[in-house]
Amino acid sequence: MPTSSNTQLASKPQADPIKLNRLLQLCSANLPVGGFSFSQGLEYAVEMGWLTSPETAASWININLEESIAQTDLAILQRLYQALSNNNFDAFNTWNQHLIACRESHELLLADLAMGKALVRLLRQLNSIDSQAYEPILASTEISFVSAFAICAYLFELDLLSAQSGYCWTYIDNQVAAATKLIPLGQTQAQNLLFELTENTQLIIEKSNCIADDDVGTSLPHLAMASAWHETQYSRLFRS
Amino acid sequence: MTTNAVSKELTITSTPTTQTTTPLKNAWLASLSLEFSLTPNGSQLTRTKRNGPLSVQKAFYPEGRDCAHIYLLHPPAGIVSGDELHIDIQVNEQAHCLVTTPGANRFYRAREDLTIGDSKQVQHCGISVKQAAKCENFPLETIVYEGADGFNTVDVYVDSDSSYLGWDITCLGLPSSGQLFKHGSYTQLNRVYCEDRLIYHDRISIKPDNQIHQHIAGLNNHSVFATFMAYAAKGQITDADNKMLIEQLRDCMIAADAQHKVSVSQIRQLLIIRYLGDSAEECKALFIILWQTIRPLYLNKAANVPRVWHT
Repeated sequence: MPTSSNTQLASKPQADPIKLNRLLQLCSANLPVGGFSFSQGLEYAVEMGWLTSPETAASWININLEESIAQTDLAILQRLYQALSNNNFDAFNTWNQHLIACRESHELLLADLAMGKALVRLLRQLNSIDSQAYEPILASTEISFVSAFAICAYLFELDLLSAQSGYCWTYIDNQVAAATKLIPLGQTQAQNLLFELTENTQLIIEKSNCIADDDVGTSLPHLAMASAWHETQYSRLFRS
Repeated sequence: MTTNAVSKELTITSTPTTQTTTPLKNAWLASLSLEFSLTPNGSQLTRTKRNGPLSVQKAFYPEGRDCAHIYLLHPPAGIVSGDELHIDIQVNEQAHCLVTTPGANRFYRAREDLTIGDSKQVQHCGISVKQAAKCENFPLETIVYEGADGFNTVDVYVDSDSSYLGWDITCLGLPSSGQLFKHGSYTQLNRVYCEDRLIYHDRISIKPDNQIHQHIAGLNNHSVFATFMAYAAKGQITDADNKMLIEQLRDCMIAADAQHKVSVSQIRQLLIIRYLGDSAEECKALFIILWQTIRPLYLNKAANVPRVWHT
């Protein structure tokens, strides 16, 4: 392993440090969008005893990545990014709406819209980023977090692949943090889980980029139900 | 039901003797389009256009002239490879219809020999509910046989002041007869558009190469999954009353000891109720309890169970 990555480092052009920093900033758990206050159904799954170990947590997060995130969030993130590159705000709005329509429970919808709104608010206040030209879409009454993320990535001059990997990271990091608190897991177990889950990122992004328009959007029924049941869970750490 | 399957397979395989020049398609395209309108005589079926084996009986009025009840009939009782069924229902201003089916729908095992045609089996249902109109759509369950390659889509078009109540119940295989669903593909897609804007999109896609059927986040190895959607006209119910209704629906499910099989959530004007379990009968019974609670509030009508549901 060490040798191959060393060769890679030597042969590949150096990444742009500014862009890497922008990506880290956009995907940081410190980004003030309130992602940490939602568990996306995971809290109920733990409460019901469905997730009890690093293995069961990995399996839960993985199927989410492969089925739901790849075929909905990442597939649409690509289309949103494309729409921005083409300056096609109509297409952007259509895909934004499609994404919001894919949130199958009150909790999932609330999380997506609350985080989207917070990120738009932040973006408008960033001194180094001029988002004025994007006001027509920023002013929409509802913006999915994915759409706000796409605009930020585009204005931070991140390429699509970086944006998609960053989005995966944001999701994985958020879910592992929730699992660590709830199951609970040890800090080392959590770090190992992050390693394991990110192994698939490339495959997942490749898969998401091959999806036809008609096949965009996939649900996980029991997860959607868990998220609906979470609304009445007796004691909870996360919002619903 | 197996005789049905066999006889239909036979009709299909025996027909294409003359098709030597054109590629064999073995497709059976059927369509049915219905239009309901409010007339001085109440809600009536004012237009029927059909092509193929889909049909309807005359509307009947078990609860008065303002709500037309109708049975949707599909005599072959099932869908094989190459079949495409299109059902379109339009409910015009202020009309009210309740559509149901007297028998289960079936997606049979798909053809494996693709030289005689595509394996796909398609049903598409488009329901358009105009201003102040009401539509209730309660088909019996859809049975998906092992090895099927089915696509079932329900597109509902509402206005902000129309009302829609409808469910779909899917059984994967016939586990009670030892026929498990292991290698089939089936996609159920439900979409709701309000004034042509997509407001709800739910695609459940089971394939041999994914884990949706088996995984605990997917169908958790259950054989029956269902969704009951209820859309209230704007101004029909206050937010506070709707909140109370949701609590009441959840309490009904606790009383029926089904709180771990049925979930209730709300997406703006749309209630999304899901069932995940192993019995279509149980699911129907639970959905009827919920319908009896929702209907008076959403449609200002008491819920008398249609006779066909008793059988």
